[in-house]
Amino acid sequence: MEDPGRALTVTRVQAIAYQARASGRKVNALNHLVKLGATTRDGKQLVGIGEGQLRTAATGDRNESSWNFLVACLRKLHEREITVTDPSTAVATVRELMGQFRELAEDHHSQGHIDFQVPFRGTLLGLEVALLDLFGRALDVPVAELLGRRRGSAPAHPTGAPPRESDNALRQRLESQADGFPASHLSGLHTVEENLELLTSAAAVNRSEAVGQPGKPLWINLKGAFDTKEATRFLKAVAGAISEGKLPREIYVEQPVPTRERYYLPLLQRTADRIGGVLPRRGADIRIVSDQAAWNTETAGRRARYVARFGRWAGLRPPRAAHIKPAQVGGLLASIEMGERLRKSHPKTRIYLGAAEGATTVTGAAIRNLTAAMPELDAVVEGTLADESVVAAPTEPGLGVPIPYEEFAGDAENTFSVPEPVVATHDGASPNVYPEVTYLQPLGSNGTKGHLLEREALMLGLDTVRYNKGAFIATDGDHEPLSFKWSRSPLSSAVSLALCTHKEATRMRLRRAGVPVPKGNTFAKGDFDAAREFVRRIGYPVVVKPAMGVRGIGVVADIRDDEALEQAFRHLSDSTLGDSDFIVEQHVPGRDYRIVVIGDEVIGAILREPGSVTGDGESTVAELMIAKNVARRGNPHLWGRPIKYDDTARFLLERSGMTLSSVPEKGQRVLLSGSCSLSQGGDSIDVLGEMHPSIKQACVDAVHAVPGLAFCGVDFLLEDHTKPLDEQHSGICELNAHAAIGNCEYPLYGQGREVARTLMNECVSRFGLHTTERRDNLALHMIVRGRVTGVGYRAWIRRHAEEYGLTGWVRNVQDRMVEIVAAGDSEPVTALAALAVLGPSNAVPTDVTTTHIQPPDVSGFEAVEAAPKEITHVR
Amino acid sequence: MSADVATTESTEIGPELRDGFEVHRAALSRGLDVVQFPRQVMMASQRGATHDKELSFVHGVPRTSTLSAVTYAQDKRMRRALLTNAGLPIPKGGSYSVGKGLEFAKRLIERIGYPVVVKPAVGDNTIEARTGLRDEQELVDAIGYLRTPTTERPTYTRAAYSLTLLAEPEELDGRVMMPSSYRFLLEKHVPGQYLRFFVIGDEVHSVVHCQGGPWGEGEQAHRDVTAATHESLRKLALDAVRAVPGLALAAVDIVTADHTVDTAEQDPRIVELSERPWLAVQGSVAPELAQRLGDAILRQHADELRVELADPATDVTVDVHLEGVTDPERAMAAYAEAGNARGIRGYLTVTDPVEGVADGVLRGAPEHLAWLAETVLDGKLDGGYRAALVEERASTVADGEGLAPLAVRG
Repeated sequence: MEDPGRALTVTRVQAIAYQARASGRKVNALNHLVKLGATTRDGKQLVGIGEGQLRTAATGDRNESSWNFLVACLRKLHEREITVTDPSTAVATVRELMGQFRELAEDHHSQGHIDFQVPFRGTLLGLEVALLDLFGRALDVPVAELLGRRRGSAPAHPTGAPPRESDNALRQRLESQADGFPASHLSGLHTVEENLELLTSAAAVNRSEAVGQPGKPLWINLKGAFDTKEATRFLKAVAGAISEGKLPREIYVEQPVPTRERYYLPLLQRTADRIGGVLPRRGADIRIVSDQAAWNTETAGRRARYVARFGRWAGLRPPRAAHIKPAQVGGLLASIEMGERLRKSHPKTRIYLGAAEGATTVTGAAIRNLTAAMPELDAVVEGTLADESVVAAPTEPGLGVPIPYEEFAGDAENTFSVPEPVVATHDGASPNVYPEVTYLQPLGSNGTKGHLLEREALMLGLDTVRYNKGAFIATDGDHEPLSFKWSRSPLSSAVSLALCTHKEATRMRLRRAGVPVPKGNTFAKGDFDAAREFVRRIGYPVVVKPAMGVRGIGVVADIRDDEALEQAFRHLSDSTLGDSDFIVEQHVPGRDYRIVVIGDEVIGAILREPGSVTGDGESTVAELMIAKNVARRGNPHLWGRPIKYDDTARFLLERSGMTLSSVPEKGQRVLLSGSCSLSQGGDSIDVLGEMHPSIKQACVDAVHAVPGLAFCGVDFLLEDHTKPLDEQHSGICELNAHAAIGNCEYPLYGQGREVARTLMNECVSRFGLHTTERRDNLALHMIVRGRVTGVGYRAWIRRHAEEYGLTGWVRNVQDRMVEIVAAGDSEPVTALAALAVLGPSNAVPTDVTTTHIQPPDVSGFEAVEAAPKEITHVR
Repeated sequence: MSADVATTESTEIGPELRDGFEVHRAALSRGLDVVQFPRQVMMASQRGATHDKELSFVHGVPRTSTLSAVTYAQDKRMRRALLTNAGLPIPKGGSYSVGKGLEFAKRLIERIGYPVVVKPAVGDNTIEARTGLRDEQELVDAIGYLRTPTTERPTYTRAAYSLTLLAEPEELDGRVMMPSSYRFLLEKHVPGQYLRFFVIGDEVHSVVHCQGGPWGEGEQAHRDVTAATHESLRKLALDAVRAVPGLALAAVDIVTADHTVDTAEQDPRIVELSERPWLAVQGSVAPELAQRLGDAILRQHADELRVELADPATDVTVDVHLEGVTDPERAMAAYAEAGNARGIRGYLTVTDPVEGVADGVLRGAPEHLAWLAETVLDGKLDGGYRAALVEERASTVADGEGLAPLAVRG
């Protein structure tokens, strides 16, 4: 038999950044998936994977810097030749490589790319685990074997307690967790009283006959619900309840205060100890669960370091329950060392191991392997392993898990790959790249559509007042101001929207105007005889839908014969909408187009296709989907609208006999969504240049038929947009009087059209406003009113202004007023004006007044007390 | 005897349909052809007019009210900011979510004191205001009421142009409720005379003193104080409308000590501003007042589009055409019966039972014809029958004399 020792060449390095999720819900943090492909000398392909967890201050990561660092590390690994002969050489190699990466991290730190003392620990974790997985697979042993197996199984806590559990659900859960688990976990609530009640309810269940474990410790995760004062009050209340016998004596309190107050945790432990007595053999034993941010002097924040260093003279004790998280420590090997150190220095401390919130099964597997190498652990507290009361020893080579694409394919934000990256092509075309997305993403979901018109107004020299994300008014100072809310503009009337949002009314109005619409009619509930008669007249295929339906509920399309029609009627009767009137209309076989009309002209047109990927003959469906979603991240209109890996996607893949790991052939289109809606992951492809004039004319006629409609998105079903209308089946199925601006402005493929610019120009000319030449550089003065002082507003604005490359300043004017002066390219400077109304989390701005000034002669962007230069307003 | 019959059956109509009804009535009385769609979208024009000479309305709001303006008016937080920025007086207040806002609301009340007013923060104005709340219990009840799904609130209305309600009711703890993100406005309750100003363009057309507010049981006590209202208060109402750019008309509610006195000598507050007329208020003073204002809305819009109007007639004959009629045979029988009870003469024929089309000739008072059309379009005809389009064209039949009481012809 061949020696298992292998010489490897790293042939492919890949990384994916994605939104972390905990129990299906997005947490505000990124993870990295690191994938290392290697070829052995005898030609065997191996893959190692790891997951990094970026948790800002807690792990010394920042999304962008950490990504750049990761890419730099991966480039160093590419084409590297490595020989691993046994576990000890493998681990030595991992240590050596990680040592190089840490040096690189220090370089990034000293060059000012990152401001954390010990940076990139969450990122380093992903790299280390991927290397360990790769080497484990090369040697055909579990990662635990490489780390040094020192124990078999380990006890685990049942984490993942749902928030706001009903009494019944709580009782059932605790009963089902009676066996095996050494403690009961609870998800904390808001107030001291609520949390105390939750604890006592849980204790009562554990005391009950069904469970019979009156002394079972309770562990409550408060998720930073309290300030320091309330936290103290809570501890006293808990101690009181223990002495009254309402609670077991052992209580674990996790994260009683927010992360930024973590320096306070040792002080809280001291309080708990004092309440419980110096030698708490019989009294309360309340343990504050602290992760290393609170006590590790190397990585903790400034105040925590201070408390840790000088605290012992003030009677502070070591943590009595330490929660080791590999992402905070910077790797699995480092976690082992930390466990050993902790056990040695604080023998009485309980030691727990777990991942940061929002981990996938990759980290779960890493924790499982790590557990086997940490004999000093009291228990594992990890959500991805929550179903098990015992963490069993690993047996599979490496981590023993595949890449869990299904857990994050819909949440990918960035990818990196050497050699060739996967490209999300469509009919051979590459997706568009829009550099301004950098300025638009901070505006949040829907931010782009609320901002584009104001950008145009400011570029034309108008002044604005913004009231919220969607609403602003623009004025030239002479005429009545123009108001805008999303795409609701003064170009359109209230009447037009009322008509367009009623499909039957729209159909009748358009038919009377001679525009092609599908034939249709409304019927009283249950009047199927009349509907059958109508279908006989118009012929198949038809669509049946409830008259008052929303979001396509109860709609049956493409009904081709009597049998299908009867089935549709039954479906309607059975649905919750069976009690309402229903519509029968002609089914128009065609593709889905959105055509934008402003005034008398069609100015944009896109074809919308259901979310899909196109094979390149090498990449898996998952990789193609991630590439597509990353391309969508770079699109100002689509960045918050990924293709989701949901039930529909699973169904469609299954129907075509594929999975996420299938490799479609080159050019093969794989459907992942059933709808053309761009929000559901649909593609947008510009087709304006090829559109037949007869189609454009019909759109303009349709818009003219609606009173006071001058901006409209026409939804047209067409067989072929290059052919005249009389040579194909077609029909306008909807007019959108408040159509999104971004879909034709920013198509995924093909040329973008200037929808916002045209719309604003039309407004300006119709209402006769005075404007300037459109300018690519602007200097703006903003007055922000509301709760904007004492909430970190200035620092927040400064950070964004610096990221946007603007010059100027920000200062407090009064109690509830901030002044911003910003100059630079029009795109970022106007984005800052839109951003200003959002503010940091504690701010509540009411409005932002933006006017034009002479560019001030300053460099950089500062938060100041007094204006450094005089401001000259211009008109 | 038909006239006697007509007086026994009313043209009573809900406040949410009243404005569209009054303008519809005015259009018929002034000889215009009318096409109306569901949700009170109405076009009125002279025979053969082009699109640009076509008057159009939704709930009686003309097309000269812009989409963004009505959207602003429906957002009370926006509206407060606009009025404040225009330097106009409003009550102290703030808007909060029904789920988490109680604590914030109480903090505000610590500063402004009881009594307070609570109303929905987004949507139709002047509805569902809980006024004079005196203590925390009343406050909690008022907020609790807003957790009731809108479909179950008797006085809730929703304009056809309102923003898609993101806050759909959802199931919480086994109860269907408005989600916790649904917002309410809290304002200091202002003591004084409650005045409803109705503004079209640059002119105040009516002022009604609503004792106890414009809603609920106070109706009996409403009185017209247009002539006696001080010029400075009228100006304040006009300034309020101007603060929301793009409104062709508006109802403005101002509370002040005395409507005959200069604003400089009192402390008036603008408590409501609605992009809808809500003529039911004036109608409760006198039906003729609401009629007159409906006609004024029509005339103003006709002036803007340079459309000439005929003198008002008290009896008109129209060719009527209905489409999208559900269950057309029975629907037309019900239509004829309701018309007959209001003294309408003429005939109706179901011309296409498959597509629900009916035609006929009707003669009667404009308010009766308008009432019939509004009612069938809203699905409120006895039996719940519904049409998707009603067209009324000044009849080519020389005159309606000799028409029999309204009936369906086979």
